[in-house]
Amino acid sequence: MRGIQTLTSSLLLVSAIAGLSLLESQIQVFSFGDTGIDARFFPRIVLGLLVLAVLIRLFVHRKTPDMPLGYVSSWLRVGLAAAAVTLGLFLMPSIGFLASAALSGFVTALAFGERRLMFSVGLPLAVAAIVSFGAREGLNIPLP
Amino acid sequence: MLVDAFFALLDIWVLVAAVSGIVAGIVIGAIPGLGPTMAIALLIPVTFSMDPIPAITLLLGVYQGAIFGGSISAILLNVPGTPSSAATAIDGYAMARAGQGGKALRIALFASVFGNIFSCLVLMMLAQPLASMALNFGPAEMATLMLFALTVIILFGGGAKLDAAIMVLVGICAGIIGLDPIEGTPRFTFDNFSLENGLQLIPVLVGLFAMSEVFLQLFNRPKVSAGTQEVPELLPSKVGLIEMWRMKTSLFLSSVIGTFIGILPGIGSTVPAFMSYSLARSRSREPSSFGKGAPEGVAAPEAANNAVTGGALIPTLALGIPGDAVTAVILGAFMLQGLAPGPFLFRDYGVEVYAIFEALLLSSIPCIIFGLLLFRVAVHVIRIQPRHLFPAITILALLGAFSVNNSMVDVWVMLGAGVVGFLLRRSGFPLPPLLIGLILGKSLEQSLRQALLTSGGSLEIFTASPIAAGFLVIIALCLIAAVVFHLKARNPSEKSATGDV
Amino acid sequence: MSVRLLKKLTAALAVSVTALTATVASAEEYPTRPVTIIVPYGAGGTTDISARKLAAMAEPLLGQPVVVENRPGGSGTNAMRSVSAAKPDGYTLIATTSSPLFVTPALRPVGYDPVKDFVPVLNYSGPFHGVLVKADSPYQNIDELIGAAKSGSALTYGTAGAMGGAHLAFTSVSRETGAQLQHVPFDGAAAATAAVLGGHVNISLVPAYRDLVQDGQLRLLAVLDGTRDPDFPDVPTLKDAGYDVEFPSVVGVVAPAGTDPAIVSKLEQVFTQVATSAEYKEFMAKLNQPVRIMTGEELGETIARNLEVYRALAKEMGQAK
Repeated sequence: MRGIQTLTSSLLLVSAIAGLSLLESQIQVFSFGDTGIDARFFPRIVLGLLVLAVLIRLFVHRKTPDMPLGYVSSWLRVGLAAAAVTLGLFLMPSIGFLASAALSGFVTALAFGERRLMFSVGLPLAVAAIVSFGAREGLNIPLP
Repeated sequence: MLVDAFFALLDIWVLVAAVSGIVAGIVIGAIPGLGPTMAIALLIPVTFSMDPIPAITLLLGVYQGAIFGGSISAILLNVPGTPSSAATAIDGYAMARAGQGGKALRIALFASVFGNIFSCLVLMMLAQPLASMALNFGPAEMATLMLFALTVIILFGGGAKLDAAIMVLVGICAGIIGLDPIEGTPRFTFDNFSLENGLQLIPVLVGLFAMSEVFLQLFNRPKVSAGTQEVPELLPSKVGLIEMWRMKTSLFLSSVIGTFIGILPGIGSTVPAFMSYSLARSRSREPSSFGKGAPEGVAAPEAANNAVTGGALIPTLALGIPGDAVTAVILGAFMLQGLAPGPFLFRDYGVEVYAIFEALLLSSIPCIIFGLLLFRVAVHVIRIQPRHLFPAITILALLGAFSVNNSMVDVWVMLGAGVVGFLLRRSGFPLPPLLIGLILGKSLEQSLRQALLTSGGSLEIFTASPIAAGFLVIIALCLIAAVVFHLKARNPSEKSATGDV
Repeated sequence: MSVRLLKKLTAALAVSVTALTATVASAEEYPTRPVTIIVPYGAGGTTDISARKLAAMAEPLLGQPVVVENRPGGSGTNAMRSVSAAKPDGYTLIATTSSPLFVTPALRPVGYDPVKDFVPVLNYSGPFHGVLVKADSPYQNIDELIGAAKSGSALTYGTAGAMGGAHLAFTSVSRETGAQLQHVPFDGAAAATAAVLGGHVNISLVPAYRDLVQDGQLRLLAVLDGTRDPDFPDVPTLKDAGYDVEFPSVVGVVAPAGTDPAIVSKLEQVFTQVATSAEYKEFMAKLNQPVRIMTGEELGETIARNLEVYRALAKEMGQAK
């Protein structure tokens, strides 16, 4: 892999092609006696244009230097935070907003390199508590 | 009538309502995901028992405050509180990084007030004729207008045009998910009921900008375990009148764009904000300073997105036809107070309506006073250590995404958008065009197909209407101009303009 | 977090205990904790505001807080689905409208059965939908309009969205009479009203038309409901005009199926008392919404009957899947 731009462009290309190939099965068209274009028309054009544009981009940039992919440790930190939020979301319906938000915040703080308990555990817990109290009592949001 | 209306305002409760509305709005708007719609809907039950004038003043104060509040977090944290402040973040955050956060906030505040006063004056003087003008915009006209907006943002938004075009297309594709706007059949929902509503704007916004910022900061953090990281210093932040005066043309044009697009239903305030940004950039003597902390890059979108307020109220009040979710909620509030918007509103309740307009104008004064006071506190946010700030932003992002529909699916969408946004930003793709594509994609498809349905499938409808044809000609001119500039720029240096990122 | 967990545990325990002992006592004491009314649309809309007022006025009668919760999305079906799965204990209700009750479920799978999964409590409102043309249009009444559409020139009509009740009703008219009526869906009733005002479509089928008609900007040719609009007693319903179709607009409260009948009748009695009060009527008049009371039984019949009609219609049009 040449670099992160090529990687992202390729991912976009793959998704767009996947979208095009799933188009028929994911969009049902009912003949309704209407004139005009059907539900598949616009998605097909837009996805086609996207494929074309990304191909052009990959071609134009085939020789220009790409941005480096970055250090493994950087990716690990991002992965850790993303995994923590994912886990928090999985648990949210069962353990509630406060606990899972505090968990996500705690792991994010760890990933940022915060080691003091006061800030890594205390701060996210405090913020989550304020947020969930404010949302429930002040903003009338039924948090899980 | 204007004088009678003014006397109706001389009531301590009107002042209290205006001030508390603005402060509440600024605070709610500054939290990513919580925007004006929610703030207003929240306060409607409070106004049940109030008199009409303070009640509506309160709600409009919240509206103004929330739109402005969104730009505070956009400037200081690069996390737009509302979609319309995403344009402000580009140069505002750059200024804040350079220690000019206070200055950027002041420029944003003054530009907001300018846009607000401008559109409010237009609303007071031209509501009736402009409302009937809005009716001339049918499906064909709307479709061409949206194409024009997309063209402007791709060509003049800054950055590589090809990348911007790709991002617009990605946004439009993301908008396809959900129910087909014409036939009502599910598209790309993978038989999942929760996806039938599509990807909602606010969760996507929060993910793309707030969550991805957390990931980006994590990625870029140099490996230090503790200790203080560098925080930008706070430079003195005076903004002279002269400096604002220099931007007068930008402010004026942006306010016109905001008011005009605000009148048209369904486009909202994000698109005019970006259009004004693009316009200010293309008019500037040094367009290269945009994106690196140009004061005009803050002023233009702020003037535009606040000018939308007055514009959006025009069809809402004069015809009883709200253009978007926010004005629909305001419409409900007017009805609750017995002031039914529509053709009879100005005839039957002239004094109340003009009093409300005047309150809207005069509320600029508390807006400036409290805005400046809040800045003194807010500006210190930037000095909080990232490792303390970003966990808190993660938690706020979870709340913001959930609060839109009170649904867990939106929180998942937010997380997904955060990962995608991180990858795209890391690769140097611009996110604003993606946001615009998402906002306009569905409406564009709907208008195109509506137009073809009314014309029986004939494309003539786009050339038969002078407005639609006019937009098509302007789009063509823009494309030609872009190609000419591109060739001109290419010839001397042999450098591909689409090549630089 | 542990507090929440504990709460949930105790709640679960309490439920299983009461389920074991007796269900008779619960109806007597009901309600012993706050009642939630879900609104399937966003906060601030007419459905939301009218439900909030209903809830606020029912509070003193029930002796417990009545909380309104918005769960918008999927044109109301998301909220209906979640309420159908809620515990049928009378503490979760939904204030819902025609479209998620009998229009959308007839057209596509929605994940709930409006007849089997819900017990109707009462109907309290429902805006009249009208057939509207621009004031300078040549059609003075509904027969002229249909006549013109039969003799060649196709007419376009706008509605608040694809596959709504108004759309289906007019499709049925066009099938019956052979009139050429082309549907153009808009994003909400407001946009459809704007489109007919601007002359972009010939007809609009929308609610909330009173002021624009009285101001002489629009002309009301017929109403889609089963009864005439009291504001315009001279305007016929489609049925009166000889077209065998109606789109009854309902706004009512329903509870998950299996709710104790004693609780349902208590709720029906309380909400009916509120909805028939002068204060509520005055409030709804401000919102430009009618108060239309139907008992739970009548509402249930309306839902069941129309669901059948719309299913048949959808099948006929090749829509059913």
